[in-house]
Amino acid sequence: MNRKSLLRHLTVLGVLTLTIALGGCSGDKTEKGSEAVPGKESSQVSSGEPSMGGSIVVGIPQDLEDSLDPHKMVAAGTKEVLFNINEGLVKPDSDGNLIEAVASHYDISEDGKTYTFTLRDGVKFHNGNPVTVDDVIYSIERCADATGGEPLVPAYSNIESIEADGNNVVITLKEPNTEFLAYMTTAIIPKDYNELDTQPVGTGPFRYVSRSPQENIVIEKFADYWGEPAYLDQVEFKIVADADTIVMSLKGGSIDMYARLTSSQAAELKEDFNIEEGTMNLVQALYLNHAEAPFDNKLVRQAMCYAVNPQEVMMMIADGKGTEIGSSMFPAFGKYYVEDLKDMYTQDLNKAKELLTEAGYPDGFDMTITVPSNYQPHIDTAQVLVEQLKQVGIRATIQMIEWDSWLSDVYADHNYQSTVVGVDASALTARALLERFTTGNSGNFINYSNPEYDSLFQQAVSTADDAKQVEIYKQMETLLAEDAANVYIQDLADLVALNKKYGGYTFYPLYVQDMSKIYLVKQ
Amino acid sequence: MKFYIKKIITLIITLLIVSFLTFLAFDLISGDPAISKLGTQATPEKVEALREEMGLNDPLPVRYARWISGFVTGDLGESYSYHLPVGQMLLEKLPVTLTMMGMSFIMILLLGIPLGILCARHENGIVDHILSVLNQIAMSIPPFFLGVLLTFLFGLVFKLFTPGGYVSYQDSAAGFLGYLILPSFAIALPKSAMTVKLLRSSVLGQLRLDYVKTARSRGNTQNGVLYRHVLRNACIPVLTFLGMALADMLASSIIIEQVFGIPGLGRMLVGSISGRDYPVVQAIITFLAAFVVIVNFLVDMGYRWLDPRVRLGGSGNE
Repeated sequence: MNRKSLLRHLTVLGVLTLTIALGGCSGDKTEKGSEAVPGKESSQVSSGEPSMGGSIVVGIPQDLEDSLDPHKMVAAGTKEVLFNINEGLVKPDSDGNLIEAVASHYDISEDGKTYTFTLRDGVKFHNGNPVTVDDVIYSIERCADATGGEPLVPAYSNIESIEADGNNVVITLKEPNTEFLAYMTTAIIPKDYNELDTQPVGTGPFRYVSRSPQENIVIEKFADYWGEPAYLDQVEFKIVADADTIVMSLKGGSIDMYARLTSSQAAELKEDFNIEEGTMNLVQALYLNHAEAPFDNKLVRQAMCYAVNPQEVMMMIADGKGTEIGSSMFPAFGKYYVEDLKDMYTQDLNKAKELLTEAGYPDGFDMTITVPSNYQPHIDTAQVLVEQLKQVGIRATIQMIEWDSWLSDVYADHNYQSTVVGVDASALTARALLERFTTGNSGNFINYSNPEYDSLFQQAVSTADDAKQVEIYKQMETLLAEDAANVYIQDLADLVALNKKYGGYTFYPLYVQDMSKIYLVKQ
Repeated sequence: MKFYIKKIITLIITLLIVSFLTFLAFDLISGDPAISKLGTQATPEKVEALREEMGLNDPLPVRYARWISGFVTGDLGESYSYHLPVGQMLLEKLPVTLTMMGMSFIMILLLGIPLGILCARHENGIVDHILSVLNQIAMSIPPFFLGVLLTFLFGLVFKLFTPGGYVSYQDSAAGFLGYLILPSFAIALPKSAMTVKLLRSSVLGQLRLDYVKTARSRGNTQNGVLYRHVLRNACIPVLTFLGMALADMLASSIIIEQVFGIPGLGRMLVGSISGRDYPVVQAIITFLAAFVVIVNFLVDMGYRWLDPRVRLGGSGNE
């Protein structure tokens, strides 16, 4: 080792020691160095020539403590892994379009009520059996079964009938729904196969090999895949439970790839790794419980929007990376996204104070921000928000809770005042983001209720005209912003570190990791 | 015989109390396994159906009785998260943590005892002084921090070790043992330092007692007295300490497993608590309690071996 690098290591060691010693002393966030990670480096990655074969180890922050049954899994972390194993009749591509997968062709009737799918020839399950019309019908019926209350895929309650017609599957809906295709990504599984919980079988480019709790999940290339085969022979998803060891594990070589890094981690890695920058595709906001005073008052919510400066939040927590948003929609959703909404409330402290006075809170008020403790960007955001709200007299305190407590207390029981989280979309439709704010929806954890919004939603889902539908969804977004339903902040930046040996990382508008496109660069 | 029966009864009572308290704790903390499993897709109907399926709607005594009857027949239930039998999951992780504990324990003995004797023999000598300074440092470093330092030094500076590059014992025994050296050392170092200090003062205390003079006056050499008589007596407090240390090491290993990315019992415990995977937590905690009770039993046996005057069972005539 030369002297220079020894010196560098010692400096890092010194800083490390200091950081550990000082950690927790101060809740203040000082602005980080202005040095930014060049996002352009991704172009270098794709320049390498792909080679077939090889393997990769991908670090993931937590184990999939979840069923491996593609219809029953709920965690985003499980979905991103199983994306490589399972496919539906159609599947999303990296541009946010739905492309044919198990179906080679589909046809939607004029009235939006009949969907006809033609099965692709030669699609095989990982167990070697060919996919039949029966398997498809079984898979969809399994998700449409409403005996336990709501079906596994709530949108399937709209299905009137599913019928086989030679090599076709015809789905008839009760009500017209032009977005229904987005829900046809449901994994196709072998009929009457009962070990999905532990031994998933699908049709994707990779097949499941093994899992060891708290250790790893291994998948391997499926040789009989119908489409473009994967480059890599094997992918190991390895659990890196301790966030402090991510950088060391990457540098030490025990993992080759890690997504959703913080900007400081990315800065430490940029010399030895390709750092790719995309978006998380989340709506990060200070979500307000409208059932709790004073958040039932629109003036108060608007005052909070005026008090907050999302740009400053991004500067403080991620060196300015991220995309400011103004409603429950993020840019990756292209045609539904209304960019101007982010400018509805530019920071204006006087205006905020006026609104507070008008609402009857001239001296501000006390409030609690509940934040899940497992996700640093949300905690950091909450800390900046506390400071910004203080400027108009709103005294906020942060309460950190475990993710599981968040799910039960905040999400299920609505027992909170405000919370900072990111909400993602489960399907490639605006509906996946907007439906939750209709009155009485089980996902409406902010208790938002506006009859105008509800009626717009009814219009949107019942129209068969795509352009008109997009227009109505945009109106709904605007309504959410005008009502200041939440204090909208940003779509977080997604920083991915990939060892320079590899290339081909692809971002999706959904929460997935497509391993079939990653390859070893030819030496 | 009476002694063993008494010990077994203690073990059973401890396990009953600990397992019941764990059950109780889960009733008190917030978070519901059904909601945890359903995540953001939870609807009241789905939660209710899943709670029923998991048997969570039964009253606490019923659930506890069901668990106990399963436990007695060797059935630890099925994990909520993984849908695998808990017994199988435990068996897979147990060798990892136990090997790490075993290695640290051997390190403590190999480091602590010779150095302790060395310090005592050279009381106030240069070796003693240097070692006592090093001792103070080693004692005051928490294992997790030592873990971070070791990972950095050996992993990134000397490149002798791949951070996070854990090798499963099923893949390669040598790779597995090799990876566990540093984490075991991180657990062992502070405890070895304490052993050195304890043994040193214990040996010095013994050396001042009359029986040493007697033995010396009979013509035994200094070393002969030290190894044949003094050490045996001096080891009794060390043994007590090591017994307690083992229980404590189990706690450290939970953190060390996080730092080094070792998928052992500790990682599984932490993961299953945050995932509200009650059957797994219940099994691990019961195992930990059993481990502590058994270690205490072994310590008692050790006393008897070191000092035959110690009568076990308190009856005085066995």
